[in-house]
Amino acid sequence: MDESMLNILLVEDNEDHAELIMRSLEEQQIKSHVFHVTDGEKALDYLFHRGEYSQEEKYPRPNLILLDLRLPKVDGLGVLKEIKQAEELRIIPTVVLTSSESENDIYRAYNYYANSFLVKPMDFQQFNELMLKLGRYWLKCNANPVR
Amino acid sequence: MMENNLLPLIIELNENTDIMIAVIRGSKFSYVNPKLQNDLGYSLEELYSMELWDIVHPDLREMTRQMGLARQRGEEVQDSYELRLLGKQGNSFWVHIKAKNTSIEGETAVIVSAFDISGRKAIEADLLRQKESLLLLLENNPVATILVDPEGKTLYVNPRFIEYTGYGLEEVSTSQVWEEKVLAEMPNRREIMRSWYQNLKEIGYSKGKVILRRRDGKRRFFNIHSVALPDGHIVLAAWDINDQVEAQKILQESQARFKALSEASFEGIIITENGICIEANQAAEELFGYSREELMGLDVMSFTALEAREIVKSQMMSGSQAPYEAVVLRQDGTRVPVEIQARSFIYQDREVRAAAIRDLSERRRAEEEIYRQSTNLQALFYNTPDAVVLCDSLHRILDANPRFFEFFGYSIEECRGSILEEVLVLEEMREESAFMSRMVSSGQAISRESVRKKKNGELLPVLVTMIPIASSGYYVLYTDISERKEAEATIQQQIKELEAKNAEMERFTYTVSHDLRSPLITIKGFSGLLLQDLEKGKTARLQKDIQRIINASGKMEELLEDLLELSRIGRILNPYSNFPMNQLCHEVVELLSGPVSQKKAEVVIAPYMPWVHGDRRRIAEVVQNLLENAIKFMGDNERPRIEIGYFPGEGECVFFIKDNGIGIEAKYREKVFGLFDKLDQSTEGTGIGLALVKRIIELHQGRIWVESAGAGQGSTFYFTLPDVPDSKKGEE
Repeated sequence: MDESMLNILLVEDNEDHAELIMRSLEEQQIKSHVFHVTDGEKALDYLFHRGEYSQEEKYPRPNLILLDLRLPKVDGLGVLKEIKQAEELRIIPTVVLTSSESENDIYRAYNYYANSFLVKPMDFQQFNELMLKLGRYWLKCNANPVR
Repeated sequence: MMENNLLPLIIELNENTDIMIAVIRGSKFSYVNPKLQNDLGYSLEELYSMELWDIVHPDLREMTRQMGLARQRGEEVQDSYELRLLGKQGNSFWVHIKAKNTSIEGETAVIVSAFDISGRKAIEADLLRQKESLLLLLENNPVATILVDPEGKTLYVNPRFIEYTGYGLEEVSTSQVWEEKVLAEMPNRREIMRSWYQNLKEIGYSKGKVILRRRDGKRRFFNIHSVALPDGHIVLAAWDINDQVEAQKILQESQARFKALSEASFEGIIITENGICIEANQAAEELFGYSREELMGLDVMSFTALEAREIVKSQMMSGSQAPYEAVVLRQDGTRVPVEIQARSFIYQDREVRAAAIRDLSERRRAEEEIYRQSTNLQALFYNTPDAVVLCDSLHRILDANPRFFEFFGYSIEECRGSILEEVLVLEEMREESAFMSRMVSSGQAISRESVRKKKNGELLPVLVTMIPIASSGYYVLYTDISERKEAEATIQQQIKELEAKNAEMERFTYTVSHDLRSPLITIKGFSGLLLQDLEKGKTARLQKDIQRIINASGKMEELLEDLLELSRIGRILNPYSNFPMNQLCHEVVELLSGPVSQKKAEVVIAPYMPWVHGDRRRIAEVVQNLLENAIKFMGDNERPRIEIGYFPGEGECVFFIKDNGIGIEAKYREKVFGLFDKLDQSTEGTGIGLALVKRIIELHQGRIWVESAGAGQGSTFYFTLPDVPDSKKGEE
């Protein structure tokens, strides 16, 4: 796995949003590889190599998790809680990326040790900028524990 | 020899003098002058014939004869002496005699002159007698008597003195002894003695009280009076007053005690004699408004109110000791009601009456206050909105106010004497009631909300307040709290509704901030991408991206409609009615006959279901939603079966819709009711369905939940609606 590349696990139930994110990253030329899952249960399965994601080589551990909060089955906070409780997962920077601006959500997310909380901008330009900053930050600025 | 011419004069004198003259020759009278003859009462013949001692009193006759004989013999005898003569009539008298030997015609003769000394003799005898009796008096005097000469030497003490003091005359002879021994107990004896003598000298007497130390060492109080005699001798009379002093002391003490006691007393105490005040204590001064000095000598009637004089008088006359009430007049004219208790007794030999007088005005005021209060209390008792019962310490009903009858249906006549608990308290609440009774019996007021039973068996929610009363027993107040309870229930309900609305509101804002933003992000994002692609001339993704925008718009519209619908449920409710659930279920199944037959599902409706009370249209929506859900998640079961059923719960009706579809995992059972929550993103709808159902059921005070054995095991949705009272059934 390329260490100079972001291996992102994108947990997003909205296909359109996932498409937007991936296209934006691509557009900004962020060296990244995105694994997209559509609900919380699948996200956890992926991370714990369960079920359809049991092949570790095929589904490598990400060095960044982009997590939506409103998810079917297990919601984002539930996923976050499990990640941060698992010794082998808690070091993975987990960024909440949601359309919610609710203070309650922000507080609860940090309470479950989220590494960052980002609100999806409604404006297309801002959306692109955020993706650029996000990619640069996690790829260039931040020293990543997961190699 | 005298001149002869004087002789007749001498004779004349001889014949007329008061001096008795006789001339004696041998033992016979040779001359007797008329005075002597007269005093003796003999004739001259008789006298001349008598022996001279015949005229002497027999007591002295022999002595006189001897003297006469001696004189005749020429012996030297007494010339002057006293003699008692005896007259012819037996009368005797004392004379002082002077005899002189002479010679007449050569013959020895005696000239005797005598004068009567009977008067002096009588005085002398008298004096002697007096002296004797005085001595006798002194010797037997109950008063110790001492005679002191001017030099201070004690000349005489009487036996009483010896008896009193133990000292003999010899032991107290000098003033020094007195000072050192007898008066040794008096530290200032020297000054006392000096002033004593001073007084004697100046005013002739002196008196005072002294302490004498007796010979045996005991000290005794003596009163001493002394008089200076003209010759400078002093007579002292002393009497033991020790007992008197002791008695005085005891008296003083007891008087002091009386005074202290009576001063300390809150009662006015006066002592009267014949209706005149002779003593009064401080409290009496305060009570009557007179000073003690003013009270002294005051007629009791002068401070007795007119109407009370009769009773005071009769009480004093009868000497009664029983307390009685009267009215006294203060000096300022104020009338004071009093209670008097008096007693007659002998005090220092006087018949007096002591009266204790207690001011009743405070008590009167207190009585009036109590009367006023009890009147108020009574007014309160009869007019309070609470039911009030008075119980004795054995929990028996003594009295109850009219409200009690209104509350519980028991009149006081039918429950007086009954045990309160047995009348009003439910069997299962006896424990609590007994606890309260114990509290109140221990003197503690207690208040509790509870329920009491009416005569007709109905229950009344009340606030029970038990108040102990000082004497014994207690009051129980029942405050009707049914309205308050209802209000409380209403408030609770309103709070619940508000909370529900609040939660709904929260969900709504969340929805707005998340779910509505979501399609907007899509729309704006893909619009931006479209523009970019157009600029770059890329057309490959255009159609797909436009479709995304259209879909997101559609989704948004859907969301907005659902939100509108949801908000309507809270606000617009159709009027509640009673309707049979069974009928409603059939109607819904009929409505969904299309999808049901499409899935080849079998729908079974329980033959019996009760009537329910609520918004019929909304309940129908609930059933429809649940039925649609069951059909939607039927999965690939070959024999789909849906059962609509009912069973009674506690105060509620439980309905259920059971399918044999895909089922729900345990962890998602709460989540399915969330707004816009969907377990499977690929299914149709916004996910509002179950949120809506939950909302409607909650508005009907029901509950909703889902049970499922797990994935593929089918699920059962339960919802409850409150029981409809029988009386309301059938009402449309």
